Amino acid sequence: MKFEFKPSDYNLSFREYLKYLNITSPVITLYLKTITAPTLILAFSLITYILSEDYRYLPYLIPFIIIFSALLLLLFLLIIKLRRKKAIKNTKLLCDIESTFYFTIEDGYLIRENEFTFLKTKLSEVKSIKLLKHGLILSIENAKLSPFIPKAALPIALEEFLSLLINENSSLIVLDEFKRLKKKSKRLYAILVFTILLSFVASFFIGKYNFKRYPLIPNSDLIKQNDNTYLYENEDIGISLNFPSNWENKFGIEEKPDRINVYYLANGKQSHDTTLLFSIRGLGAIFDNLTLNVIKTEGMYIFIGPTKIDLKNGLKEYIELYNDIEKIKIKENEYYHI
Amino acid sequence: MYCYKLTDSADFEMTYKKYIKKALLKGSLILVSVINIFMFLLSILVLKSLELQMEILSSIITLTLLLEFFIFLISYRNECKKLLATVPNNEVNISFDEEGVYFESHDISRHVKWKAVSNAIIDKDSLRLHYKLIGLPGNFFYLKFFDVESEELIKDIEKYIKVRRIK
Repeated sequence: MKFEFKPSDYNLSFREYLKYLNITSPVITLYLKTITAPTLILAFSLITYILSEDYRYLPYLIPFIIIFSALLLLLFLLIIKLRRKKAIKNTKLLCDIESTFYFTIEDGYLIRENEFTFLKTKLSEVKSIKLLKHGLILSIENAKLSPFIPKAALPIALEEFLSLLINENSSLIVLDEFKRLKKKSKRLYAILVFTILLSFVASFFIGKYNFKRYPLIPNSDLIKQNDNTYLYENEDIGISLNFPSNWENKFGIEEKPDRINVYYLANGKQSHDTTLLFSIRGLGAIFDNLTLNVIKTEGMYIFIGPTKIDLKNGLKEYIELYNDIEKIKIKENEYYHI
Repeated sequence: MYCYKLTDSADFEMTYKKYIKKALLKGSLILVSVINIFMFLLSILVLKSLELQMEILSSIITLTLLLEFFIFLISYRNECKKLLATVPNNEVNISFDEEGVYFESHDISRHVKWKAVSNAIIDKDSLRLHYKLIGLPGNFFYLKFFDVESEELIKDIEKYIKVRRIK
């Protein structure tokens, strides 16, 4: 049996062959094994970390990300399609792309020749045949050779060609590399998609539940007065405060050795929106003028509040409470010793 | 015609092992380093532009690098074992003439014309022939496993092609 072909006439199969040689080379195999898992972990960590900062917008971001990814994929497929159509020519690295390869299979021998090389081997030396989508590779392991034949260049049907070689060499192994690699890449894509989806879910929950929690005293622990106001006494500093009745379930108190911090609690519980309403400090206390400003001074104490707030929920309520700070008066504690 | 004797000697196996390990390590380390630098710069760019914390970035990168290191060690060992298991066990007769290089071994004969040889390199104790051919990237030979003195062999090649010597 004799047949001939020019690799440049079989664009698709030749590209597929080069790609196969590349991805199955030991260096690339080792490289891919090394970077796959760490890259997935890095992608997961970065996506989770970045999205968790803005977890509230995630439901709006996901459709945008899906559309963006789909567009990117389409662009990628378009580039591949255009590239596949591009004719292949001789390069500095490969000089026999445009040359004609002559194949002869007879008397138990395989001969491949062109203007640059000649190869003659017993068919028994062909250890395996690797099937790709558009071509096949004869693997002659002893000589580290991999002659390539496009399926479309075969003068007979592929099955007939394979059985002819198997008749000559009963130990010949036929490997469907196309199926194997397709399965492998499908698995990799599935893992990638799963990782991205998992990072979306993780970023939402981490974003939602990962916020600074203060050791706050809730208003339920305070003394409710007859006029429905809440009395807070600080024995260490020796002062008392009366919180208005409309502040019920909207604030929490943090006690520090040198100050009292009062925080706004959106929906009555600690969250990302827990924001400082005011802080009571001694008159001579030093604080950062850029982030805090003086609301009022009372006796030996000053009320200071934030210069800037970043509230996603309850801004209106926060302002209402903030405006009430003027009404909150400091009383020096009076103790009766028996 | 020169005879190049493969794997029958334990000496060859040792030398070949060294070559494979070196070649594999060099190529894969270059690729892994390139992708690492790219990922590192990309991560910094993203985190800087979003004004996020650098501590978290450094933890993620350290974890990734550690993981990469361990996976690389394991995969490198396995890949070396796999490659060394496929060392051909035969003799090759090599000859040169005006046309090109001829390789004759049991049941396989090959001929590569000089116009398809991109480089002939003598690197310390080895001869490398690089080709511009589909599916045949090159041949590697240790000079000491030829049945002639290396200088004699090199002189013969130099009659037909320029040999680059790397010291």
